[in-house]
Amino acid sequence: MSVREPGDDLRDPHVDAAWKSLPDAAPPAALDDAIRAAARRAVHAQPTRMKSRAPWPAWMSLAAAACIGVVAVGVWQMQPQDINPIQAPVSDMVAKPTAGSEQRASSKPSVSTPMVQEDSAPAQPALRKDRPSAPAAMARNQDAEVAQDRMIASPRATKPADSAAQPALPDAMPRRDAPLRAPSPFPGTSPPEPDNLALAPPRSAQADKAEVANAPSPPSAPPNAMAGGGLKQQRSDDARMRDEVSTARASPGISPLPPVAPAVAPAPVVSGFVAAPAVPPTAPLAKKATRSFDDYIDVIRRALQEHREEDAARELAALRSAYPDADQRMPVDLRAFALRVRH
Amino acid sequence: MLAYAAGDAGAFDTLYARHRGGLYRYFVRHLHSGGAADELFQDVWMNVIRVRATYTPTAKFSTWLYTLAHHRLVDQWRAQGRSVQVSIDDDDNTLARDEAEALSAPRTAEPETRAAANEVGARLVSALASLPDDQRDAFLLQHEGGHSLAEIAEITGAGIETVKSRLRYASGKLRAALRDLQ
Repeated sequence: MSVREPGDDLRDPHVDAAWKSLPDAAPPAALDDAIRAAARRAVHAQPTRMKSRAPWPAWMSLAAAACIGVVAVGVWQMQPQDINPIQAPVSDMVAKPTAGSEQRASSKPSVSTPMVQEDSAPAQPALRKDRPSAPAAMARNQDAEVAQDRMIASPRATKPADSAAQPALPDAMPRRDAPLRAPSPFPGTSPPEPDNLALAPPRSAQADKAEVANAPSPPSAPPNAMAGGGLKQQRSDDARMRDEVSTARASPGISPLPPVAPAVAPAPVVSGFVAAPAVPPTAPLAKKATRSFDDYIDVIRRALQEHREEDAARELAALRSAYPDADQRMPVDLRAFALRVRH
Repeated sequence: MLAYAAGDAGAFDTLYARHRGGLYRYFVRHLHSGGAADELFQDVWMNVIRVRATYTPTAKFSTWLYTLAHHRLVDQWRAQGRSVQVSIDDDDNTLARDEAEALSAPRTAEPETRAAANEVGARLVSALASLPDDQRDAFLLQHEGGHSLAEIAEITGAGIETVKSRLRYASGKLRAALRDLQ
């Protein structure tokens, strides 16, 4: 197999003779058979021209379409009937009223309160019905919620029976016989004192937050404290509890709580749902160069020599992502290929 | 190769029969391990089968084939973190031992000739194994692959002068190993 070339003067006759005396190693027969079989399989696996055969009859198409239609109709008929929208299931958590400004402007919460209390006591689904027709009750609910925000950390010792009897919802309507007060969000917890809420005019959440921000925080918040000093602590506790409850409420009249972390935007309120807090987009992780630049070049060259252009293009893309200045550092022999394979 | 790419399975058989021996010995002389040589040998031919559709005859087929083989060998060295020379006395060097044992098989009727040939072959194998990888590679591409200096330079990615110096050093060391037997 030796080819006589000008460089053959580097061959030594003694070494050549000794080389020829070595036994001829050959691949095992099983390996030969496996490789040949793989080669034949690859050739036979190539797509072949479809043999011509009789065209698809037209009636077969209609029959197939009819079968598909029958199956589709059958599947559709087997589907469960649609639920009456009036009797649509209602979640346990009562949604907040969407119209905020009108209800807050209402100045007669006590007048309609008895009516609302009667209607809302028996069942949760009734709340949804009454909501559109009881704007004053909505205002009451909002006030109750504001008070609840203040008193969320109130101790659970005061009147646990009443709290347990009430529905475990932050927006539940107050009972008829109970004084007007914000319901406790959790069973066993005591609702805040209603006196201030009943007599005080409706307040905006903005004013409440301003009061919270300006009021000094006391060393320890007393139970049922309505002073501004305990509002800060109560508000942070409230934020934690809100996260735990993870309820959907609509509170268009009440702005979301200030974010805990400055990097997290407040949760936007959209038609009764509290969306997930907006997370600033994370910067794409910089790809660390796991291989050296020369390694990439070697692999690309090798792939090109082996006529594996796809692999070479893939490696080039990886090189470019690992080394942004790859094109400037590209060797001369690969620049044409790099120009061909654009980003 | 073009015929095989066009779908002629018999063309592959011809190619395979023409190059299987040299390529296999190329791996065997490098790795001194039958199992590793079989694996690399199969990898190269599978690669040939896989890229047949995109093969373009920019060079001789043997040059392209041994380029694949060289790349595969380099990958094997990198995977092994290769920096150790394999000697015939290594316990893992089964094929080198097999070669030494095969040399004991009768080649001629003369016992003295057989003994001399065995010793020369064993000495040559040992000396070849002790060469640096690049010198051994150049030597094997010339003697097993039958390639010219330019082809060896293309396969290994080195310059012609570099290939010349590698061959010169390899031949010199092998000659020195056989000097006392001449």
